[in-house]
Amino acid sequence: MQTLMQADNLAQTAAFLLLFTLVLVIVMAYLMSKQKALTKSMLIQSRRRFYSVIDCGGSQQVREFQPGDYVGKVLGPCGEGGQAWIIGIYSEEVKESMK
Amino acid sequence: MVEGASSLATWIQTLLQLLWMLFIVMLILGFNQRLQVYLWVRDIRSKMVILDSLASEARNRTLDFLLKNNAKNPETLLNRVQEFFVIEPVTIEPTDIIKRLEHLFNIRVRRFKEDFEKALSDVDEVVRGKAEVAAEITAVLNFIHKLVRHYLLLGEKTNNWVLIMQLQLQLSQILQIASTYRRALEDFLEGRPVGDAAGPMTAVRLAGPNAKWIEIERDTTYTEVDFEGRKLFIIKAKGPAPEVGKPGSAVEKIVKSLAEKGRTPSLIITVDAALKLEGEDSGTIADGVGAAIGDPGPEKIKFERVAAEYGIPLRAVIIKMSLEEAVMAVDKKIYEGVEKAVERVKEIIRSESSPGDVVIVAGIGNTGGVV
Repeated sequence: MQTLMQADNLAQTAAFLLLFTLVLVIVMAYLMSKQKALTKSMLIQSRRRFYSVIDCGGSQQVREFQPGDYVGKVLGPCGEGGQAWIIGIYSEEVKESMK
Repeated sequence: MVEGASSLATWIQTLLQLLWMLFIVMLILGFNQRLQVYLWVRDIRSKMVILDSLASEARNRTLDFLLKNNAKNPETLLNRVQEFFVIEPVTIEPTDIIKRLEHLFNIRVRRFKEDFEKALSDVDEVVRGKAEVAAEITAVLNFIHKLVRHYLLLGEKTNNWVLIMQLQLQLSQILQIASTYRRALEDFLEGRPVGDAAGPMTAVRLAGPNAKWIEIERDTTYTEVDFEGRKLFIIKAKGPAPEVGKPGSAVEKIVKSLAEKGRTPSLIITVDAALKLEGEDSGTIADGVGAAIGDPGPEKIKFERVAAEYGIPLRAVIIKMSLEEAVMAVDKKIYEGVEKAVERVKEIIRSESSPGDVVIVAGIGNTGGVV
Protein backbone atom coordinates (compact mmCIF):
# COMPACT_ATOMS: atom_id res chain seq x y z
CA MET A 1 0.00 0.00 0.00
CA GLN A 2 2.86 2.33 1.00
CA THR A 3 4.77 1.47 -2.21
CA LEU A 4 1.73 2.34 -4.32
CA MET A 5 1.42 5.70 -2.57
CA GLN A 6 5.11 6.40 -3.22
CA ALA A 7 4.70 5.61 -6.91
CA ASP A 8 1.66 7.89 -7.00
CA ASN A 9 3.67 10.76 -5.44
CA LEU A 10 6.46 10.19 -7.93
CA ALA A 11 4.09 10.45 -10.88
CA GLN A 12 2.62 13.67 -9.44
CA THR A 13 6.08 15.23 -8.97
CA ALA A 14 7.19 14.20 -12.46
CA ALA A 15 4.00 15.62 -13.98
CA PHE A 16 4.47 18.87 -12.07
CA LEU A 17 8.09 19.20 -13.19
CA LEU A 18 7.17 18.43 -16.79
CA LEU A 19 4.40 21.02 -16.73
CA PHE A 20 6.67 23.60 -15.07
CA THR A 21 9.42 23.08 -17.69
CA LEU A 22 6.88 23.24 -20.51
CA VAL A 23 5.44 26.55 -19.26
CA LEU A 24 8.96 27.96 -18.82
CA VAL A 25 9.95 27.02 -22.39
CA ILE A 26 6.73 28.49 -23.85
CA VAL A 27 7.13 31.77 -21.94
CA MET A 28 10.79 32.11 -22.98
CA ALA A 29 10.01 31.32 -26.63
CA TYR A 30 7.18 33.88 -26.57
CA LEU A 31 9.41 36.60 -25.07
CA MET A 32 12.22 35.94 -27.54
CA SER A 33 9.88 35.95 -30.55
CA LYS A 34 8.33 39.20 -29.31
CA GLN A 35 11.78 40.77 -29.04
CA LYS A 36 12.68 39.62 -32.55
CA ALA A 37 9.40 40.93 -33.96
CA LEU A 38 10.04 44.30 -32.31
CA THR A 39 13.52 44.54 -33.84
CA LYS A 40 12.18 43.49 -37.24
CA SER A 41 9.33 46.02 -37.12
CA MET A 42 11.84 48.79 -36.42
CA LEU A 43 13.88 47.90 -39.45
CA ILE A 44 11.07 47.41 -41.93
CA GLN A 45 11.40 50.11 -44.56
CA SER A 46 8.05 51.16 -45.87
CA ARG A 47 8.07 52.31 -49.47
CA ARG A 48 7.60 56.01 -50.02
CA ARG A 49 6.61 58.13 -52.99
CA PHE A 50 7.76 61.72 -53.38
CA TYR A 51 5.81 64.64 -54.74
CA SER A 52 6.60 68.23 -55.70
CA VAL A 53 3.95 70.93 -55.17
CA ILE A 54 3.99 73.57 -57.89
CA ASP A 55 2.38 76.95 -57.41
CA CYS A 56 1.25 79.28 -60.17
CA GLY A 57 -0.30 82.50 -58.90
CA GLY A 58 -2.04 80.75 -56.00
CA SER A 59 -3.25 77.66 -57.84
CA GLN A 60 -1.38 74.55 -56.88
CA GLN A 61 -0.60 71.35 -58.67
CA VAL A 62 1.08 68.20 -57.39
CA ARG A 63 3.35 66.01 -59.52
CA GLU A 64 5.88 63.24 -58.89
CA PHE A 65 9.24 64.45 -57.56
CA GLN A 66 11.87 64.61 -60.28
CA PRO A 67 15.65 64.59 -59.77
CA GLY A 68 16.81 68.22 -59.68
CA ASP A 69 13.62 69.47 -58.00
CA TYR A 70 14.06 71.64 -54.93
CA VAL A 71 11.83 73.95 -52.93
CA GLY A 72 12.04 77.47 -54.37
CA LYS A 73 12.99 76.31 -57.86
CA VAL A 74 11.43 78.57 -60.49
CA LEU A 75 10.11 76.49 -63.38
CA GLY A 76 9.21 79.35 -65.72
CA PRO A 77 6.41 81.73 -66.58
CA CYS A 78 2.82 80.62 -66.16
CA GLY A 79 -0.66 82.10 -66.34
CA GLU A 80 -0.84 85.85 -66.76
CA GLY A 81 2.67 87.05 -65.98
CA GLY A 82 3.06 84.67 -63.05
CA GLN A 83 5.93 82.34 -62.17
CA ALA A 84 5.53 78.63 -61.66
CA TRP A 85 7.72 77.50 -58.77
CA ILE A 86 8.08 74.57 -56.42
CA ILE A 87 6.69 75.48 -53.00
CA GLY A 88 7.02 72.11 -51.35
CA ILE A 89 8.28 68.56 -51.62
CA TYR A 90 6.85 65.79 -49.48
CA SER A 91 6.73 62.03 -49.20
CA GLU A 92 3.86 59.64 -48.64
CA GLU A 93 4.06 56.02 -47.58
CA VAL A 94 2.84 53.56 -50.16
CA LYS A 95 0.19 51.30 -48.73
CA GLU A 96 0.90 47.73 -49.81
CA SER A 97 -2.21 45.91 -50.98
CA MET A 98 -3.09 42.78 -49.01
CA LYS A 99 -2.46 39.61 -50.94
CA MET B 1 8.06 -6.70 -8.79
CA VAL B 2 6.42 -4.28 -6.33
CA GLU B 3 9.63 -4.14 -4.29
CA GLY B 4 11.68 -3.28 -7.46
CA ALA B 5 9.28 -0.46 -8.34
CA SER B 6 9.45 0.84 -4.79
CA SER B 7 13.27 0.90 -4.88
CA LEU B 8 13.30 2.70 -8.27
CA ALA B 9 10.75 5.22 -7.00
CA THR B 10 12.91 5.94 -3.96
CA TRP B 11 15.98 6.49 -6.15
CA ILE B 12 14.15 8.80 -8.54
CA GLN B 13 12.66 10.72 -5.64
CA THR B 14 16.11 11.13 -4.07
CA LEU B 15 17.53 12.28 -7.40
CA LEU B 16 14.74 14.83 -7.82
CA GLN B 17 15.33 16.13 -4.32
CA LEU B 18 19.04 16.46 -5.10
CA LEU B 19 18.22 18.32 -8.33
CA TRP B 20 15.97 20.70 -6.44
CA MET B 21 18.68 21.32 -3.85
CA LEU B 22 21.21 21.92 -6.63
CA PHE B 23 18.77 24.32 -8.26
CA ILE B 24 18.36 26.27 -5.01
CA VAL B 25 22.15 26.35 -4.41
CA MET B 26 22.65 27.66 -7.96
CA LEU B 27 20.03 30.35 -7.33
CA ILE B 28 21.89 31.42 -4.18
CA LEU B 29 25.19 31.51 -6.12
CA GLY B 30 23.61 33.79 -8.77
CA PHE B 31 23.24 31.30 -11.63
CA ASN B 32 19.97 32.94 -12.70
CA GLN B 33 21.83 36.23 -13.05
CA ARG B 34 24.53 34.63 -15.18
CA LEU B 35 21.88 33.09 -17.39
CA GLN B 36 20.19 36.47 -17.70
CA VAL B 37 23.51 38.16 -18.62
CA TYR B 38 24.14 35.42 -21.19
CA LEU B 39 20.75 36.13 -22.78
CA TRP B 40 21.39 39.90 -22.78
CA VAL B 41 24.81 39.44 -24.39
CA ARG B 42 23.29 37.16 -27.02
CA ASP B 43 20.63 39.77 -27.79
CA ILE B 44 23.21 42.60 -27.97
CA ARG B 45 25.41 40.58 -30.32
CA SER B 46 22.49 39.83 -32.65
CA LYS B 47 21.58 43.53 -32.77
CA MET B 48 25.23 44.47 -33.32
CA VAL B 49 25.16 42.44 -36.52
CA ILE B 50 22.36 44.73 -37.73
CA LEU B 51 24.28 47.86 -36.63
CA ASP B 52 27.36 46.60 -38.46
CA SER B 53 25.38 45.96 -41.64
CA LEU B 54 23.80 49.44 -41.47
CA ALA B 55 27.26 51.04 -41.11
CA SER B 56 28.72 48.94 -43.95
CA GLU B 57 25.78 49.68 -46.24
CA ALA B 58 26.12 53.41 -45.60
CA ARG B 59 29.86 53.26 -46.25
CA ASN B 60 29.39 51.40 -49.53
CA ARG B 61 26.63 53.76 -50.65
CA THR B 62 28.79 56.81 -49.88
CA LEU B 63 31.79 55.29 -51.64
CA ASP B 64 29.61 54.56 -54.69
CA PHE B 65 28.46 58.18 -54.71
CA LEU B 66 32.04 59.47 -54.42
CA LEU B 67 33.29 57.14 -57.16
CA LYS B 68 30.39 58.09 -59.45
CA ASN B 69 31.46 61.71 -59.11
CA ASN B 70 35.15 60.94 -59.82
CA ALA B 71 36.41 61.60 -56.31
CA LYS B 72 40.15 61.28 -55.75
CA ASN B 73 41.09 58.70 -53.09
CA PRO B 74 37.51 58.24 -51.81
CA GLU B 75 38.46 55.55 -49.28
CA THR B 76 41.16 57.69 -47.68
CA LEU B 77 38.77 60.64 -47.55
CA LEU B 78 36.01 58.58 -45.94
CA ASN B 79 38.39 57.02 -43.42
CA ARG B 80 39.61 60.48 -42.38
CA VAL B 81 36.06 61.83 -41.99
CA GLN B 82 35.05 58.75 -39.97
CA GLU B 83 37.84 59.24 -37.46
CA PHE B 84 37.77 63.05 -37.37
CA PHE B 85 37.13 64.59 -33.94
CA VAL B 86 36.68 67.95 -32.27
CA ILE B 87 38.01 68.42 -28.76
CA GLU B 88 35.62 70.50 -26.67
CA PRO B 89 37.08 73.72 -25.28
CA VAL B 90 37.94 74.09 -21.58
CA THR B 91 34.75 74.80 -19.61
CA ILE B 92 36.12 75.44 -16.11
CA GLU B 93 37.32 78.83 -17.38
CA PRO B 94 34.18 80.18 -19.09
CA THR B 95 35.72 83.40 -20.41
CA ASP B 96 35.38 83.51 -24.17
CA ILE B 97 34.09 79.94 -24.32
CA ILE B 98 31.67 80.78 -27.16
CA LYS B 99 34.45 82.42 -29.13
CA ARG B 100 36.70 79.39 -28.65
CA LEU B 101 33.89 76.97 -29.52
CA GLU B 102 33.03 78.92 -32.67
CA HIS B 103 36.69 79.00 -33.65
CA LEU B 104 36.91 75.20 -33.38
CA PHE B 105 33.69 74.69 -35.36
CA ASN B 106 34.91 77.07 -38.06
CA ILE B 107 38.15 75.12 -38.37
CA ARG B 108 36.21 71.86 -38.59
CA VAL B 109 33.90 73.18 -41.32
CA ARG B 110 36.82 74.68 -43.26
CA ARG B 111 38.82 71.46 -42.95
CA PHE B 112 35.93 69.37 -44.31
CA LYS B 113 35.20 71.81 -47.12
CA GLU B 114 38.81 71.94 -48.24
CA ASP B 115 39.15 68.17 -48.17
CA PHE B 116 36.01 67.69 -50.23
CA GLU B 117 36.97 70.47 -52.66
CA LYS B 118 40.28 68.73 -53.26
CA ALA B 119 38.70 65.30 -53.67
CA LEU B 120 35.71 66.45 -55.74
CA SER B 121 37.14 69.24 -57.83
CA ASP B 122 35.08 68.50 -60.97
CA VAL B 123 31.60 68.79 -59.48
CA ASP B 124 29.41 71.65 -58.23
CA GLU B 125 28.92 72.60 -54.59
CA VAL B 126 25.54 70.82 -54.39
CA VAL B 127 27.14 67.45 -55.13
CA ARG B 128 30.01 68.28 -52.77
CA GLY B 129 27.52 69.19 -50.05
CA LYS B 130 25.69 65.88 -50.53
CA ALA B 131 28.98 63.97 -50.36
CA GLU B 132 29.92 65.79 -47.17
CA VAL B 133 26.62 64.93 -45.46
CA ALA B 134 26.79 61.33 -46.71
CA ALA B 135 30.27 60.99 -45.21
CA GLU B 136 29.05 62.46 -41.92
CA ILE B 137 26.10 60.04 -41.76
CA THR B 138 28.51 57.17 -42.47
CA ALA B 139 30.73 58.44 -39.65
CA VAL B 140 27.75 58.56 -37.25
CA LEU B 141 26.71 54.97 -38.06
CA ASN B 142 30.29 53.78 -37.73
CA PHE B 143 30.60 55.53 -34.37
CA ILE B 144 27.34 54.04 -33.05
CA HIS B 145 28.55 50.54 -33.94
CA LYS B 146 31.96 51.13 -32.34
CA LEU B 147 30.44 52.58 -29.17
CA VAL B 148 28.00 49.69 -28.67
CA ARG B 149 30.85 47.21 -29.24
CA HIS B 150 33.00 49.11 -26.74
CA TYR B 151 30.40 48.95 -23.96
CA LEU B 152 29.63 45.29 -24.63
CA LEU B 153 33.30 44.27 -24.49
CA LEU B 154 33.89 46.47 -21.45
CA GLY B 155 30.89 44.92 -19.68
CA GLU B 156 32.13 41.41 -20.46
CA LYS B 157 35.73 42.21 -19.52
CA THR B 158 34.87 43.72 -16.15
CA ASN B 159 31.94 41.35 -15.55
CA ASN B 160 29.75 44.43 -15.14
CA TRP B 161 26.25 43.11 -15.65
CA VAL B 162 24.68 46.51 -14.92
CA LEU B 163 26.50 47.96 -17.94
CA ILE B 164 25.34 45.05 -20.12
CA MET B 165 21.78 45.38 -18.85
CA GLN B 166 21.71 49.14 -19.57
CA LEU B 167 23.11 48.55 -23.05
CA GLN B 168 20.55 45.86 -23.81
CA LEU B 169 17.68 48.04 -22.60
CA GLN B 170 18.82 51.01 -24.69
CA LEU B 171 19.75 49.04 -27.78
CA SER B 172 16.27 49.00 -29.36
CA GLN B 173 16.26 52.80 -29.31
CA ILE B 174 19.84 52.95 -30.61
CA LEU B 175 18.92 50.56 -33.41
CA GLN B 176 15.96 52.72 -34.35
CA ILE B 177 18.16 55.84 -34.52
CA ALA B 178 20.77 54.03 -36.63
CA SER B 179 18.09 52.73 -38.99
CA THR B 180 16.67 56.26 -39.36
CA TYR B 181 20.10 57.67 -40.25
CA ARG B 182 20.62 54.92 -42.81
CA ARG B 183 17.33 55.81 -44.51
CA ALA B 184 18.08 59.54 -44.29
CA LEU B 185 21.27 58.97 -46.29
CA GLU B 186 19.18 58.15 -49.37
CA ASP B 187 17.07 61.30 -48.96
CA PHE B 188 20.16 63.51 -48.73
CA LEU B 189 21.80 61.89 -51.75
CA GLU B 190 18.62 62.23 -53.81
CA GLY B 191 18.36 65.92 -52.86
CA ARG B 192 15.02 65.72 -51.08
CA PRO B 193 14.39 68.18 -48.24
CA VAL B 194 14.37 66.59 -44.78
CA GLY B 195 12.16 67.56 -41.83
CA ASP B 196 14.88 69.83 -40.45
CA ALA B 197 14.43 71.94 -43.60
CA ALA B 198 11.05 73.17 -42.28
CA GLY B 199 12.63 76.51 -41.23
CA PRO B 200 14.25 77.28 -44.61
CA MET B 201 11.08 76.08 -46.40
CA THR B 202 9.06 78.60 -44.39
CA ALA B 203 11.58 81.31 -45.29
CA VAL B 204 11.35 80.48 -49.00
CA ARG B 205 7.54 80.52 -48.90
CA LEU B 206 7.60 83.97 -47.29
CA ALA B 207 10.12 85.28 -49.82
CA GLY B 208 8.19 84.14 -52.90
CA PRO B 209 9.41 83.07 -56.35
CA ASN B 210 11.05 86.37 -57.34
CA ALA B 211 13.38 86.64 -54.34
CA LYS B 212 17.05 87.30 -55.08
CA TRP B 213 19.11 85.46 -52.49
CA ILE B 214 22.42 87.16 -51.64
CA GLU B 215 25.23 85.47 -49.72
CA ILE B 216 25.96 87.43 -46.54
CA GLU B 217 27.94 84.94 -44.47
CA ARG B 218 29.53 81.56 -45.17
CA ASP B 219 26.77 79.38 -46.72
CA THR B 220 24.11 81.85 -45.54
CA THR B 221 21.87 83.99 -47.75
CA TYR B 222 19.30 86.72 -47.28
CA THR B 223 16.69 88.50 -49.34
CA GLU B 224 14.57 91.64 -48.91
CA VAL B 225 10.81 91.43 -49.39
CA ASP B 226 7.95 93.88 -48.88
CA PHE B 227 5.08 92.60 -46.77
CA GLU B 228 2.03 94.75 -46.01
CA GLY B 229 4.11 97.92 -45.72
CA ARG B 230 6.95 96.32 -43.75
CA LYS B 231 10.40 95.49 -45.05
CA LEU B 232 11.27 91.87 -44.34
CA PHE B 233 14.87 90.61 -44.28
CA ILE B 234 14.61 86.86 -44.71
CA ILE B 235 17.64 84.75 -43.83
CA LYS B 236 18.42 81.08 -44.35
CA ALA B 237 21.31 78.77 -45.20
CA LYS B 238 22.36 78.62 -48.84
CA GLY B 239 20.79 75.73 -50.75
CA PRO B 240 20.02 73.45 -52.39
CA ALA B 241 23.16 71.80 -51.02
CA PRO B 242 22.64 70.50 -47.46
CA GLU B 243 24.02 73.35 -45.33
CA VAL B 244 23.02 74.96 -42.04
CA GLY B 245 25.00 78.17 -42.53
CA LYS B 246 25.64 80.83 -39.89
CA PRO B 247 22.24 82.46 -39.34
CA GLY B 248 23.28 84.09 -36.05
CA SER B 249 26.23 85.86 -37.66
CA ALA B 250 24.05 86.91 -40.61
CA VAL B 251 21.35 88.40 -38.34
CA GLU B 252 24.00 90.19 -36.27
CA LYS B 253 25.52 91.70 -39.41
CA ILE B 254 22.15 92.85 -40.80
CA VAL B 255 20.93 94.32 -37.51
CA LYS B 256 24.18 96.29 -36.99
CA SER B 257 24.17 97.54 -40.57
CA LEU B 258 20.51 98.63 -40.32
CA ALA B 259 21.06 100.26 -36.92
CA GLU B 260 23.91 102.33 -38.35
CA LYS B 261 21.43 103.66 -40.93
CA GLY B 262 18.90 104.41 -38.18
CA ARG B 263 16.57 101.59 -39.23
CA THR B 264 16.82 99.23 -36.25
CA PRO B 265 14.52 96.22 -36.81
CA SER B 266 11.42 96.14 -34.65
CA LEU B 267 11.17 92.36 -34.54
CA ILE B 268 13.27 89.21 -35.07
CA ILE B 269 11.49 85.91 -35.71
CA THR B 270 13.25 82.55 -35.87
CA VAL B 271 11.51 79.52 -37.39
CA ASP B 272 12.87 76.04 -36.77
CA ALA B 273 11.96 72.37 -36.57
CA ALA B 274 11.71 71.15 -32.97
CA LEU B 275 11.55 67.69 -31.48
CA LYS B 276 8.04 66.86 -30.30
CA LEU B 277 7.23 64.97 -27.15
CA GLU B 278 5.79 61.49 -27.61
CA GLY B 279 2.02 61.83 -27.92
CA GLU B 280 2.16 65.21 -29.63
CA ASP B 281 1.08 65.43 -33.26
CA SER B 282 3.74 65.94 -35.93
CA GLY B 283 3.45 69.13 -37.94
CA THR B 284 1.76 71.13 -35.20
CA ILE B 285 3.25 74.53 -34.53
CA ALA B 286 3.81 76.69 -31.49
CA ASP B 287 5.28 80.11 -30.91
CA GLY B 288 7.24 81.56 -28.05
CA VAL B 289 10.07 83.83 -27.05
CA GLY B 290 13.79 83.29 -27.68
CA ALA B 291 15.98 81.98 -30.47
CA ALA B 292 14.66 78.77 -32.02
CA ILE B 293 17.93 77.24 -33.14
CA GLY B 294 19.50 73.96 -32.12
CA ASP B 295 23.17 74.78 -32.51
CA PRO B 296 25.65 74.11 -29.67
CA GLY B 297 25.82 77.81 -28.79
CA PRO B 298 27.82 80.15 -31.02
CA GLU B 299 24.96 81.00 -33.41
CA LYS B 300 22.17 81.02 -30.83
CA ILE B 301 24.01 83.43 -28.54
CA LYS B 302 24.42 85.90 -31.42
CA PHE B 303 20.63 86.13 -31.79
CA GLU B 304 20.26 86.70 -28.06
CA ARG B 305 23.10 89.23 -27.81
CA VAL B 306 22.06 91.35 -30.76
CA ALA B 307 18.39 91.30 -29.73
CA ALA B 308 19.30 92.31 -26.16
CA GLU B 309 21.77 94.99 -27.30
CA TYR B 310 19.24 96.76 -29.52
CA GLY B 311 16.15 95.89 -27.46
CA ILE B 312 14.51 93.96 -30.30
CA PRO B 313 11.77 91.45 -29.40
CA LEU B 314 12.99 87.94 -30.23
CA ARG B 315 10.17 85.60 -31.21
CA ALA B 316 10.27 81.94 -32.16
CA VAL B 317 8.00 79.65 -34.17
CA ILE B 318 8.57 75.90 -34.06
CA ILE B 319 7.27 73.05 -36.20
CA LYS B 320 7.07 69.89 -34.12
CA MET B 321 8.33 66.54 -35.36
CA SER B 322 10.05 63.35 -34.19
CA LEU B 323 13.78 62.72 -34.61
CA GLU B 324 12.95 60.30 -37.42
CA GLU B 325 10.91 62.95 -39.24
CA ALA B 326 13.63 65.57 -38.69
CA VAL B 327 16.32 63.62 -40.52
CA MET B 328 14.17 61.95 -43.18
CA ALA B 329 12.38 63.43 -46.21
CA VAL B 330 9.54 65.83 -45.34
CA ASP B 331 6.23 64.01 -45.07
CA LYS B 332 2.80 65.49 -45.63
CA LYS B 333 2.23 66.41 -41.99
CA ILE B 334 5.47 68.41 -41.87
CA TYR B 335 4.67 70.02 -45.21
CA GLU B 336 1.32 71.13 -43.79
CA GLY B 337 3.17 72.30 -40.66
CA VAL B 338 5.28 74.59 -42.87
CA GLU B 339 2.09 76.10 -44.35
CA LYS B 340 0.80 76.77 -40.82
CA ALA B 341 4.17 78.26 -39.79
CA VAL B 342 4.08 80.68 -42.74
CA GLU B 343 0.64 81.89 -41.62
CA ARG B 344 1.71 82.15 -37.97
CA VAL B 345 4.79 84.23 -38.91
CA LYS B 346 2.56 86.56 -40.92
CA GLU B 347 0.16 86.91 -37.95
CA ILE B 348 3.06 87.75 -35.62
CA ILE B 349 4.41 90.36 -38.07
CA ARG B 350 0.97 91.96 -38.43
CA SER B 351 0.29 92.09 -34.69
CA GLU B 352 3.75 92.96 -33.37
CA SER B 353 5.06 95.42 -35.95
CA SER B 354 3.67 98.40 -37.81
CA PRO B 355 3.77 99.39 -41.48
CA GLY B 356 7.13 101.01 -42.19
CA ASP B 357 8.99 98.76 -39.73
CA VAL B 358 11.85 96.43 -40.55
CA VAL B 359 11.41 92.78 -39.52
CA ILE B 360 13.96 89.96 -39.67
CA VAL B 361 12.80 86.38 -40.25
CA ALA B 362 15.38 83.58 -40.00
CA GLY B 363 14.53 80.10 -41.29
CA ILE B 364 16.81 77.82 -39.31
CA GLY B 365 17.78 74.33 -40.43
CA ASN B 366 19.32 72.24 -43.16
CA THR B 367 18.71 73.53 -46.70
CA GLY B 368 19.22 70.24 -48.55
CA GLY B 369 16.58 70.32 -51.30
CA VAL B 370 15.68 73.96 -50.64
CA VAL B 371 16.97 76.89 -52.74
